[in-house]
Amino acid sequence: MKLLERSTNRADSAEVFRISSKSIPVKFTSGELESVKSYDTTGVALRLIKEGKLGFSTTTYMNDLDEIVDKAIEASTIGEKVSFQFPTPNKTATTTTFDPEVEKVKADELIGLGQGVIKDLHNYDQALSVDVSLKRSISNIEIRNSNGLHREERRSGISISVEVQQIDSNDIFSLNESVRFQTRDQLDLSTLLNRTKKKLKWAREKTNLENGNYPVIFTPKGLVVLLLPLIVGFDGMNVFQGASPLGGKLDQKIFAENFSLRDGGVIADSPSKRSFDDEGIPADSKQLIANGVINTFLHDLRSASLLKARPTGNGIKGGLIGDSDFRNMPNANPTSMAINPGHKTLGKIIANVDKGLLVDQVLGLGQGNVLSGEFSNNVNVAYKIDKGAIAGRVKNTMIAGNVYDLLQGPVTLSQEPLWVNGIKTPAVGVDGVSVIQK
Amino acid sequence: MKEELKKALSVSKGDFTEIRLEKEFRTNIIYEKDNLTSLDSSVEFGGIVRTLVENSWGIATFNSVDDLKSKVNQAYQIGKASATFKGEPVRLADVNTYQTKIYQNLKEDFRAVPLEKKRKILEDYNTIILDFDDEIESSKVAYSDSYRELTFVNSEGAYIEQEIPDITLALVAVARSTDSNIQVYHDSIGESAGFEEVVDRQTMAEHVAAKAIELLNAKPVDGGSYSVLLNPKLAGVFIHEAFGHLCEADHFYKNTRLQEVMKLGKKFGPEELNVVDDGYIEGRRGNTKFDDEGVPRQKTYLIKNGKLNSFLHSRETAAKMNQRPTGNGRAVSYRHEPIVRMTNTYIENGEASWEELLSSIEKGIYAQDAYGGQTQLEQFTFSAGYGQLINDGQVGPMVRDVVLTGNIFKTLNNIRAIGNDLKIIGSAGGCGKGGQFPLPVTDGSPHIIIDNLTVGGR
Repeated sequence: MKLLERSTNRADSAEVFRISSKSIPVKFTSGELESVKSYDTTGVALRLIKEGKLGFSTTTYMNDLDEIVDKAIEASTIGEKVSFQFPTPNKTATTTTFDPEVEKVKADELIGLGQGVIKDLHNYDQALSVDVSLKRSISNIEIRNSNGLHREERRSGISISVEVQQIDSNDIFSLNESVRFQTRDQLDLSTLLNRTKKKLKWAREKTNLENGNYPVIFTPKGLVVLLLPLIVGFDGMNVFQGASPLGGKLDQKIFAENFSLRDGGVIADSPSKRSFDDEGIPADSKQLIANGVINTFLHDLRSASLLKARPTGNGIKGGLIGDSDFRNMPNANPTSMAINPGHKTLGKIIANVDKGLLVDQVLGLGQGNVLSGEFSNNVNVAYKIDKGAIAGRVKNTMIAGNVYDLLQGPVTLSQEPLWVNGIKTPAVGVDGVSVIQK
Repeated sequence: MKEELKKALSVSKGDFTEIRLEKEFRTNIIYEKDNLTSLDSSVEFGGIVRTLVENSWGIATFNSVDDLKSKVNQAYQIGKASATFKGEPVRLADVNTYQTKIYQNLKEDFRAVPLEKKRKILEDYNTIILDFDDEIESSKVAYSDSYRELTFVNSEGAYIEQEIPDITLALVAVARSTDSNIQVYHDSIGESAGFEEVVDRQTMAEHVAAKAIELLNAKPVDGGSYSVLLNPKLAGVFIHEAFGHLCEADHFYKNTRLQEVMKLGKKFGPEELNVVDDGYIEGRRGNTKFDDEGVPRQKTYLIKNGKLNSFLHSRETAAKMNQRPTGNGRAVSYRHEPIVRMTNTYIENGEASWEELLSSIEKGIYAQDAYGGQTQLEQFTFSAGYGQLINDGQVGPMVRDVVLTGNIFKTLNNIRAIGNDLKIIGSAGGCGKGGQFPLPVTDGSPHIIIDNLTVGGR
């Protein structure tokens, strides 16, 4: 690879990240096909270290690669002094991240899938407005550095999201569900459709819940309310800077005994598997929380070197649980996550609640003091639990609490985990969430 | 490039074809506490072809412009393949075609500012925050500039070259007390302007640090229903979430039930309420002199005298609803097709003075600054940076975690008073919709009072 040589000639060490991806997004609006797209991306990101200082630049313009070297060198002259080095070659088993059958999926098959979703939901209720987005993506990631590391991987994926809207005069109810598959044989829309219909059924009645503190069960989808502050809290950089409340609490038990959380690109049956992170470190599975005890934080090369810890394979060039975007520098972010399930069905957990909420979807996620663990959200999809049964949908209702208080326990976990947005989680019940309706 | 684009268009077999090319120069610099965690200076090049084939859109995006004709053909093939599945025909509203070039003349062009100068100024703000007080635990200082050169051409003869500069600065202070209470405060600016916008912002750095410290001693707000006085920044976010999104016609141009809810002339707010989306206000981030369909900007009254007055349109939604395009077909980059978006959105001035507003509140909250907001069309939320309790017309102690929620059918009607101190405010970040984020927009408003607003809390 010429770019790496050219860079190494002008710097102490260098790393080249290359991505080329082809995806086909298909969009249906209000039950009609809106657009089909062919989405090609080729991008290169260059990191180099010169006189101990880091420089970075990216480009999509492959005809003039001297420019990116010039820019990265210029950046390094005023760059941060770093104490890490690009990793040397590592021997780790790779996981299966690519299915040639997914590559064979063309636009017409996606369109057919979308039509099937719309037909099924219209059979349930003809008046629903249904939007469907489908995307098949194939990307090739290659990382090379001047310490001899060379890793390359193809990753495939099919993602499907559905948004249904139910409108009566002065009432708009919308609900969305999404699912992702990495291989062709995982592709199955029945659970997505059943989930959607069950939630629509629950929403038939509208009801109220008086202001007060209640037990709240978060569905796998709704649990992101509690997980977002944790993800930010486990970010090694936030720990290093004292901005995480988890800093200094390694090996301490600060969560409920039955609460365990893992992260890793190789977690079995993850729909977004990867063998290595965006710095070439193996994306091994590791326990972040083991039976309530903090076991490790998430590290990229930088945060690991600053905290004198080992990199955990979490140097990700993207947002939270997002696809890698070559334009970003790597940061300590999760790959795939999993929460250990419990031993009761969701139905049984609901049956044990006298009065409370089942929360599936909120507005304003992350728009507040996430670091401290505080949340305060409108629950735009939530159901009142009354005497052990779902009593209907609530509206114009806010929940508020602190994640770190609530997850101290008691925590109830359902036995049916589900993959949502790269996280495999059961429904999780906590006690003492403030509910405000007016 | 103009000739190449014309040649590429000429091979299109589609009924309508457009090509948009983009070259972006950008810089991002981020300090987090003592670390310079991002320093990126890059150039990006790419394009998109959109073509209409027998009522269906075929779209192709790409990075290499070596073979434009093949991209045009690719878009056509995709459109052709999906045309068989298509329902109702796509029509585009008629518009004038323009051949024009829009250049920028920045006071201090940030492309000519050395990286070291940019870094130094950030380091200075970062130092101000970190040195402000012992209780400041951490900081984040982020700078971005972007200079986009867009070329738009379509098969109707439009040819528009546009330069779009954008510059943002975001300052964050993290305070931590000995009992591990962690509080965060942030402020930001974002303008379509030159480097001069981000210099001399020392007071802003002091302000975020001071507010973060103050928040350590603030109590969480008690949840409940309040009369809330919103400052212009928060009121701007409110109107963007509460009403702006609902006026975007792509939410309902195919959805007849929602059209019934959104009938022109329907009363949503008090007589005094006027809401505007304006595609060009000197220096503002939301500016779109020509949108990404080549339609010129417009000043659109969404609400006039409390009544729904107009929607925001792309050419497709306008044609479908037999209305005029409003110049709101915007794409966040060459990687996306245009969808209906806001530009600069604000509530016009009312008559009440600040004193009149404040003295009219017996018990309430003065909610200030904004973390952001979100809407589900009917229900929406918006988060304040902080609040202050109001008692008998007097502003009292600070409260934190102030998140407000409203409902489109009630909340605008509960606007009791509108001030006369309109401010249009550009901030960093942007608006997200349909996977396109962050789109530069600005919001604004005078101070307003909303009664019976629900505030979440413990």
